[in-house]
Amino acid sequence: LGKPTDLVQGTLDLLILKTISLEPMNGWAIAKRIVQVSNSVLQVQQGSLYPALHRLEHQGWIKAEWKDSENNRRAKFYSLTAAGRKQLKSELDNWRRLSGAIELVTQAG
Amino acid sequence: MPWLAKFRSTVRWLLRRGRAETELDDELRYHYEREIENNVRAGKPLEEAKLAAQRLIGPVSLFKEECRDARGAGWFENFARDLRYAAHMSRRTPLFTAVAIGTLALGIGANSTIFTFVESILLRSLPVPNAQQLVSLNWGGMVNISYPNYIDFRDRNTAFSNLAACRYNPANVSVEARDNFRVWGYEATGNYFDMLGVKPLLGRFFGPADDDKPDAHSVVVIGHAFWQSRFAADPNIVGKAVKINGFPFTVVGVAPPSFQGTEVIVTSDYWVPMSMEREIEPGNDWLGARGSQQVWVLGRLKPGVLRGQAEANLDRIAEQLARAYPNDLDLKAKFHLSRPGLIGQTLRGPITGYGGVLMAVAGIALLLACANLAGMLLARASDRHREFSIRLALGASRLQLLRQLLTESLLLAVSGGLLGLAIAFGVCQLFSSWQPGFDLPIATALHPGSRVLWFTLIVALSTTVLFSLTPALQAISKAQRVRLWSVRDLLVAGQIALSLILVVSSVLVVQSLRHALTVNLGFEPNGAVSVSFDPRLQGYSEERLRRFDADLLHNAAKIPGLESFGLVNNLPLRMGENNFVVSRADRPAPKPPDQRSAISYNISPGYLRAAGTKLLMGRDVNAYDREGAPRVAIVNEALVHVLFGAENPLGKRMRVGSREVEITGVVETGKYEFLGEDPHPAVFSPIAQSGLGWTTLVARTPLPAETATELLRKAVLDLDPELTLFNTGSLKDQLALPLFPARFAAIVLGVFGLLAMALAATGLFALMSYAVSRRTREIGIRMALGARPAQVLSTVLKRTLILCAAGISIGTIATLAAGRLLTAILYGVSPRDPATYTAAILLMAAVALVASWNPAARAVHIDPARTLREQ
Repeated sequence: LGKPTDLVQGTLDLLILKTISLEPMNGWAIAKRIVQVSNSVLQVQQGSLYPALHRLEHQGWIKAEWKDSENNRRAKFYSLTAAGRKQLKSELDNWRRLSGAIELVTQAG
Repeated sequence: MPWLAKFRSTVRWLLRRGRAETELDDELRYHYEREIENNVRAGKPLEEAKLAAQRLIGPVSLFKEECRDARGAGWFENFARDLRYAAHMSRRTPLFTAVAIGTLALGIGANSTIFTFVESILLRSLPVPNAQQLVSLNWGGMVNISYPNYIDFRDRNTAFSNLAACRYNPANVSVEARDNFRVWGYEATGNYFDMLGVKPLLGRFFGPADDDKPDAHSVVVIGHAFWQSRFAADPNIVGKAVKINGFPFTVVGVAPPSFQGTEVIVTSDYWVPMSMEREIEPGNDWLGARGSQQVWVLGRLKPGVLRGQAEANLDRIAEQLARAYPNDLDLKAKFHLSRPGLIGQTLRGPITGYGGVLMAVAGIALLLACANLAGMLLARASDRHREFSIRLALGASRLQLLRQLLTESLLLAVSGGLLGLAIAFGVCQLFSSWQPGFDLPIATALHPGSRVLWFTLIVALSTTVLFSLTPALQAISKAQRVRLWSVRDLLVAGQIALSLILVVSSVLVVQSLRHALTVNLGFEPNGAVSVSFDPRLQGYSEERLRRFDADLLHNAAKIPGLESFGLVNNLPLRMGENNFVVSRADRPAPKPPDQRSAISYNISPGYLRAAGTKLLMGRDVNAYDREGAPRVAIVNEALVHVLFGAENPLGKRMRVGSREVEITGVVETGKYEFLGEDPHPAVFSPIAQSGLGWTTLVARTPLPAETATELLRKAVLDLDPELTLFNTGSLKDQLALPLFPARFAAIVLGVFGLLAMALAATGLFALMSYAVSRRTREIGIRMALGARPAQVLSTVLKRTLILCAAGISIGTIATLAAGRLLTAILYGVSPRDPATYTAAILLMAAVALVASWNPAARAVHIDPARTLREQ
């Protein structure tokens, strides 16, 4: 078991917001989805995931709701709020600018 | 997201903490179980699947903590934990906790109590709507304005929506015959209640229509307390008749309980229209007199008008008036508007000064308490050095330790504050139930309001910072500073000195109180009773008064069981003495600096015997000393000494004011104004030649005081059932008034003495504890090397002894120097009474011993082996 990739806090927020922008999801599904979509490059630590979810909810970007999950058990589903959608857009813009800049610098020379 | 919404989210989390925690657990368990499920599906055995899931998830409690922090709820959890730990710590050291809370409670209690007095007198507005618009008119430093001037200001001003006048007076109110009360209340203009905006509890208030012409509207509004106590809260009171000073009045309304008049420190039992002035004040007639300054004027400012603008407006009118009536008005007098309630602003200065001094004293006491508490905490910090080292080693941050220590202090301060508040409420309760025996209804009801709560809270929180920050910082720092003598030592010596001064003073005052009851007053209070009344209030003419006095004496002679009886205008030691310039008639009258004055009493035959005043030579006044007969007077020894020296005064003539009299008798010198006074000349004139207004009937009798008082009351009321009696009862009970200053001083000095003693004790306790804690190791080594307990004791006690000796010496010297200030209230005891000093010094030594006992015992019981191992 290798050491999972450390994620900068802001990046994790972005990943969470992006992941639940499609449909409401519970914590476990969010973690699995991130691993899956990133071809297992990004490992999300539960110790980071849940505090991040609570922080995002506290800031009013996401909201939570208890619903039946796919295997008929109660789970807490997170979805974006209007403020969260705005936040996702601005974070995405930021990320694109940043990654583009990094791309430019690393490609140069 | 705005901070408010975040705050709401935090509060929501805290409020439903139990459910939120369960949900968090559920959420994490769901994750764990899905993980296991997933692993099983991937083909792992169940046990292995569980282990893998646990490994993946990691330390659950840690990130639960982080989730809470994410909610902004972390500080609360930490605080709750610190608080629990603090409560646990304070239970483990009950002596320290009790001393600390007790000290703070006394200090904060004293401050809150005095603040309650200051707040309710100086800061509170009258209980009327929009009270901030109400102002009192002060004109050229005076609060009294003549009624005609008031009318002009009322009609010509543009600044006030209403300008009302009132006047505070005693009156005799009789409900039925023989059911009479002397009460105080207001004559008020018809717009008085309109201006205030108060609503009556029952009936109506009088208005401008009830005040339109003199003597026409005999209506009265009665106060709530008076209605309850004298009319048994009769719901049908409106429309009933009462007599005021013998005139029939109709009750039109009852004031609400919150409204006790427009003065703060006295209450009111009645209000009548000002046009009834001649009925309320028989003999006075000032409604038309521009030169007679009689009424207090209150106004309600129009919305938006500033005080300065209103003052300018009034000054302009005053100028016009001064030009129109140059003889009656002072052109230079300027208006000053003040908050109403303290006779304009007359009493504000003195009360502010007095309150300020008391607040300062209480503040200093609290600062000393904080200093002592800081000392105790320092001692505790060095005791807990080991605990802190361990916690630091286990990974606690210094900030966490500091937070913990401050929480412990906060717990002490809040407990002390609550107890202090309880003390303040208790004192106010006590004061509210106190009935001063004055002929004036002092407002003693004190209701600590929200300002007092805030004040106490702020004081308690400030003390936390004051007494805990330095010790806490020192506790968590690595180095411990050691100084030979610190400011704190000097403070302790100062506190010992201060409490010695206060203890000696209060003991002296208490002793003089005991003496006061045995000194020669110039009359014998035991076995005599008296009743007073004021026939002038009832509108008696001079002629009718004289006849009444003669009839009363005649009737009193028929009462069985009286040894002697007589009339006097005012008993000695009652305040309100009349003074006259006296001089020898056979010499030219001296000019002002050499003039002598004598206190003047008017007496009937028999008074001297009834009062127990000894006639030393000559004769008592008798029935022949009446109008038309040669004017005579009896004088006291002090007057003889001043005017005639060793000459025989009998038959000599002297001037008393403008009259010339012959001296026919000499009596012993007594006490007239206050108990501690130097011998003062006095002259006693026969009532038949000098007249009598305010009247006191005195009788000496072996009958019980209540029975005798009742007989005298009956004798007076048989002659006029509408007269109101006051100051009734035994002369001994009535001495309460002259003894009041001394009693009050004894209480105040005693309370502050106890407070100072408690402070000095905690100061010493803190100092000793600190000394012992710091030197535990040194003492351990000494004991290991064979030091005996006595030697150990002398090591730790030396400093205490030096401080005590210094404090006691300074205190003794200061008290000896300050003793002269006490002579005004001391009687029959020297301000340098050696027994008092010895007792007080022994008391202080005993207090020091008690305070040092616990730390000293700890020093002696130090176990050398353990100390050496530990450090």
